[in-house]
Amino acid sequence: MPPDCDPSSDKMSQLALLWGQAKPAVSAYVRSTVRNHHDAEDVIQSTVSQIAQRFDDYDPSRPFVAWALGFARYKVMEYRNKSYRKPLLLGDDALEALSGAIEEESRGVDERYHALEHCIDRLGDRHQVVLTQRYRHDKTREQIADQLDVKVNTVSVMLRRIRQALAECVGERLGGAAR
Amino acid sequence: MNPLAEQCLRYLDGDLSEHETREFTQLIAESPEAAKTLARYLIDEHYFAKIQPTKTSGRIEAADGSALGLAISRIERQDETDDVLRELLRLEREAAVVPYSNEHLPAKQQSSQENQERLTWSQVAGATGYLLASATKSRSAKSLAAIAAVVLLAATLLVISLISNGNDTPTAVTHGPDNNSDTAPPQRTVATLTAQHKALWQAASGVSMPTVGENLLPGQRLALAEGLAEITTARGVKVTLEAPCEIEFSEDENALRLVGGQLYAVVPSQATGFAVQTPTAHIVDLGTEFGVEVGADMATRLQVYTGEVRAAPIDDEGVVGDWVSYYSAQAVSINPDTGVQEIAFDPGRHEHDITTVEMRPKPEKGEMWWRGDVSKHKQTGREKSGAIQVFLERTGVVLDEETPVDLNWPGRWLPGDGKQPASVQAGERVDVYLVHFDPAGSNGFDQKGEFSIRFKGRILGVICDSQSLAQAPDSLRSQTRYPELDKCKSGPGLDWELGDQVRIHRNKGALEMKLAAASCYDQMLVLVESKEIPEAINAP
Repeated sequence: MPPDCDPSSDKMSQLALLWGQAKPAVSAYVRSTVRNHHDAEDVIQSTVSQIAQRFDDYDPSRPFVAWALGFARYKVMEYRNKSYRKPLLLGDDALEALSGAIEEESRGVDERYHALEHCIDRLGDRHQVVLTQRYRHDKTREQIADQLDVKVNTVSVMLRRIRQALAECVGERLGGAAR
Repeated sequence: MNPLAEQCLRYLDGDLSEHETREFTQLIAESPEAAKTLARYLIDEHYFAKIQPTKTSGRIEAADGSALGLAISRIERQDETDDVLRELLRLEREAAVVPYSNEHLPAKQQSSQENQERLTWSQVAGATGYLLASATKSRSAKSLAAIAAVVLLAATLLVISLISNGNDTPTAVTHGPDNNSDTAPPQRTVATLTAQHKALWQAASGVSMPTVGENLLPGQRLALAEGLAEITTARGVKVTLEAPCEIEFSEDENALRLVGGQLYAVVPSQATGFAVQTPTAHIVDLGTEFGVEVGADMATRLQVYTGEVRAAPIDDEGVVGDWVSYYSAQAVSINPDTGVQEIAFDPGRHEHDITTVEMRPKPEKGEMWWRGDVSKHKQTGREKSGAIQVFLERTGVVLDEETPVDLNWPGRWLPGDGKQPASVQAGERVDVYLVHFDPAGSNGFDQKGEFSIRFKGRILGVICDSQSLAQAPDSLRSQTRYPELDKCKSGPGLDWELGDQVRIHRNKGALEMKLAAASCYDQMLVLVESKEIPEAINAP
């Protein structure tokens, strides 16, 4: 199908492509501090909006993820200043270190995604349901506990064990130590 | 558990104390390994929202059948109270409640059926034992109520059983429009006709011709000669009828009789236990979606889409056979001559969405044929401004060679998971439509929608994989220029990682799809049987 004649479309296509690669890292960074799902979505949307406005300034010789994380840092800070909900979680030094780690880890996100997908499929149905309810359907641990008629703490422990198991499984598939 | 992993996960759950949070913050700032571990968990979280496990069916297994050899300790026991309540429902259905007129059976069969549908002593004793055992295993307060209910039900069943075993006269209650009772049938509503599509109701003795919104009463019979109709029962079960189909309502608002034809039922939790009786089977839902069909030979075909359904055959003598549970993607044929046989599950067999798009006046080639607001359909996501568009691209194209497509009837397209090679035969004349789903301007946030688009001609094939779209013959390709065509990294085809699905309905005129679009839109070419004069012959 023929490309559009709009001269800006190339730029926008490039942005869409780059954003697709950076989104997991930006999302991870934002969620490290903004734990409310909807607030995190707002901050991510605000970040991508800012990135789009400033995309003309982007230097393609620089890594896009690092550039995008710069905006995310600013937006997270903005959120923290405005938010009355929670005290500051990670300090600035920790956030700086985390940002670097996320940037580094995001280089292999495609492989990690596929490994994770494989490992999730190997979970038992029950564990899949709990994982899906928590992260895909954004149910709270309390809601899941109510659904299963178990204690909230049981759900917390279950989720941690599932996640640890998945991390180990992914680590094995990617051929490294437990990641 | 690895202490660092434990700390990271507790932090993400918000479970660290203030003091622990300070320590953790310092650890992240000072230890690159700790920062990396937290980074991985955060990236995983991002993907958890994207990945749809392939085998999760909504049914939580009682036992953990994990194939992952991991040290996930056993989870607390599944809600046993639910098991007890489900068993109660099953027993209610399987025992004495046969609320239909059985006038369609010979007298001998009627008597036999009634006798067989009462519980025997051993059945009652066994069931009571099972229920009490199940209930007492559960420790919650809810279970105490369940135990009380079990005891009450068991006592009731024992009384029913004693009466029926001590009396040669059949005592099973039958209801229906032809019941010779002096009492007028209760005029309470058991269901409502909530929608119809090109429906033509049969005008015949003993059957009604309802209109949308009309309340339906116990004993009422409906015969749909053409089209589709949706009925919502008093308990919220959505039943889609596909013509030709005949049903009859009973006194029980949570049951109906399928005399012939087929229906599809979506049963909400409050209606668990919804029952369908056919001439050859009893079917009881245990929280599910299923389709039932009664053929000309009176055989019952049951297909479970999600959840669990129990079914038992009724033989020529009216004797009810063994009850068996069926689960997601299982199909069974219950035939009085050949018995009960598992058959291939056909995902496109039952119509279950009559929210369809009518054909608009035919546009010129390249013009938009239809545009729909996603918000009018099922949609999840943050924005509600999205739309699906359908463009007419080509008309009357004659295929001079066999043309590969990603999907033809029957089947559901699940890339990388059982995708079968498909093609449209040479010589077919087709109109080509482009379906374009870009609900939020591809702003990077997942937008999802479910649609059913009805075309006038038969759908012969769908090209929906990015690679297939790129390789489609020139004669089928889009003539329309679309903005931002190059922004999709992997092409505009469907993305199974986001859960895209599409299928052609059995009547081949309707295309059903569940689409998700994020940073890239979804597109597919639909090849519809053409009645137009050929516009071109494919170049070799």
